[in-house]
Amino acid sequence: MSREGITRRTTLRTLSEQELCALHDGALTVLAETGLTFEDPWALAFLAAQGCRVDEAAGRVRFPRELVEACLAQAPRQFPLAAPNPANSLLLGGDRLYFSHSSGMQTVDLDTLEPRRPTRQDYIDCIRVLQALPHLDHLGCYPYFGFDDMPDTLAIPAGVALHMQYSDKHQMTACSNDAELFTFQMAQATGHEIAGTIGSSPPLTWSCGAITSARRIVEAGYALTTVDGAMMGGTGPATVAGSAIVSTAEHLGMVVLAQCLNPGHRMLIGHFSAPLNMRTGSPAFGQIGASLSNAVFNQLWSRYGLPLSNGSPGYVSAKGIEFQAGYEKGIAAVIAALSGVNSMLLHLGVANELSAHPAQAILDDDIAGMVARFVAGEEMSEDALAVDLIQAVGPIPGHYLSRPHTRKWWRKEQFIPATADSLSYPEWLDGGKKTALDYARDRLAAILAAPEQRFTTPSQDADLERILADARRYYAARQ
Amino acid sequence: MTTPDILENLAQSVTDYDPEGAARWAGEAIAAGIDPLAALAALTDAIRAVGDGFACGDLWLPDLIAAADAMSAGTAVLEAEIAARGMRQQGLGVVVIGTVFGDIHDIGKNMVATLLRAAGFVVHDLGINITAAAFVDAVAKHNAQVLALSALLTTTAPEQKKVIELLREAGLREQVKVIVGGGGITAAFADSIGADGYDATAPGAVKLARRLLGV
Repeated sequence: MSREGITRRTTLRTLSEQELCALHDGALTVLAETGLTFEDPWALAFLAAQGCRVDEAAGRVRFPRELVEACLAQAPRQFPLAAPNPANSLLLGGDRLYFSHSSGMQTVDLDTLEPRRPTRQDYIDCIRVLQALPHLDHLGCYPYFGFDDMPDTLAIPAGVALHMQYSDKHQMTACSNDAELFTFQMAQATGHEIAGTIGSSPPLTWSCGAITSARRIVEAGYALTTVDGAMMGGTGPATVAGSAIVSTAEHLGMVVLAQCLNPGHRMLIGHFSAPLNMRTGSPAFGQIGASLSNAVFNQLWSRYGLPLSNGSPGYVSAKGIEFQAGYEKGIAAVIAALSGVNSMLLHLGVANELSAHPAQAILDDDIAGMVARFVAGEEMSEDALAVDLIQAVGPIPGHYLSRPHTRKWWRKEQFIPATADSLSYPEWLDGGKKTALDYARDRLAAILAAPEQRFTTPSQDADLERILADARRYYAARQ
Repeated sequence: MTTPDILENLAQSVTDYDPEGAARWAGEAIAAGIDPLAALAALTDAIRAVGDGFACGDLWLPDLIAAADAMSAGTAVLEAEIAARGMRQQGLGVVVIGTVFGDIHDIGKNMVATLLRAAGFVVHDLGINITAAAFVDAVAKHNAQVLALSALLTTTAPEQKKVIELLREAGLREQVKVIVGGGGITAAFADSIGADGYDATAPGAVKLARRLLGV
């Protein structure tokens, strides 16, 4: 038994087969002629042994087309990811759609909208909210980049431990700066399956750290998520198509490495591209260009068939939890969902990657619910068509409100957002003219007022503390 | 079958949204010699539970209206028996309710009637497309303390004024509180036609009736 997610019945297709072939050929041409930089001597030797043309001095790997296509064919189209609670396990791939969350460096004060460093309690509260939200299917790498005075090097292991203690949903973890040496031990100590995430360094480069992490993830048998990050006009061409080729080439290079290391290894392909803000030099999250990029990338990779994730719907340029954040996330979520994504980062993020807040996640959960309802599509069974009922009710004064058919269908057909105001106008006035954020704050308070649930045993907590202490010593010794 | 069993089945027919069941169990109650007022109280308790569920968000409009349909089916059987025995229903007050002449919309009116019954009022629902004369006759016949007039359309809203004028002509205006509602009605309109109160929502209409009667 696993989380069903949403089975997509409605799909957006904007590219012709010829256009998809052009993107594919472009990526294979780049891989074969320019190649990728792999900043890791082991990877250079390993890929040379697989038949790649390697320039060791330049750290450059050129990939034969046949090898890339053979490795692509080996990667699974669908695979399970176990959660501590089996009811929260995932089946990634195909037409399934799941939602996850983005992250922020800091939290934000809801009254002043000013960011501040989260405390450990903020971090725990955020996980508890993510655990409670019905459309948040699995946890992402981390809600915040760190908390309190925790050294940045310890932030990932410390966050993973808190995820394990306060959530029974599947957790995808970031692998960076040797964090996986400790997070994998935590997974073994608790019996949790985690997935490991690495990021490319666009354009066309895999860093030594990412390669080392990828190798550890594959050898440990955990699913590998590769995330690109070309900023259009900066670290990728300004065009959507050109940046899609850069991102695709980077992923394909890592597909070759992982599949040669372990044929059939589970991989999730994460797209995280956005236009470059040509005034500030930051990613222009929330712009429609990011959605165009997802749409193009998703259509190409749906053709390959590997499970896909999109990161940019979870990030917005809006600085506050308000209208701009809503439309930036809403439009991005619809387009990503329709164009074939399997796991979408949506909840939590505010103000690019600068901040995040659980109240935003509560609002985002309604976006997820609305999008999920739309992509699930319409049933066209005889009962749904309701011709017999329509004839039985007839014109006015007939109505459908008291009919068993209505009670049977309306909850399934409608999605009712938890934080959208749907009162009559006088009720809204009498109720204090609440905004969506007010409703989100109410819900946040209710979730946090519930008894705190722990999902680890005292003995597992002791193991997590011991591993964290090892990590603390390891990073202290490296400084 | 024992009296509690029959009353439980009668009440359950409301929470099961089963009009046929409600009529059948109401008939069983009478046949078993159960006081029809006690049977009516069982129905009122059941619709109150549904109304509470609606108020707290657990139940929704289709549940409320379907439960009201079931209650109406049972009530019709019991009220005929109550009338035949010359008995009187007890409650917070007597309400006559209906949709005005020219207007055949009844969803909002049914919501108000249901929640009034759930609150403990004795409600005489005249239905839809009711003439001003029929409203005035019903107020007199049932000695109503509240007259609730519904009009969805702005074109039929003036009918509410006509009812109030006819009540005045019949000398009944002082004995009954007139409350108005419906999609096209506003507080300003209610004031302008001389109504005693207006509310935009069904739960608000119940509060309004209680406030006007001081119960």
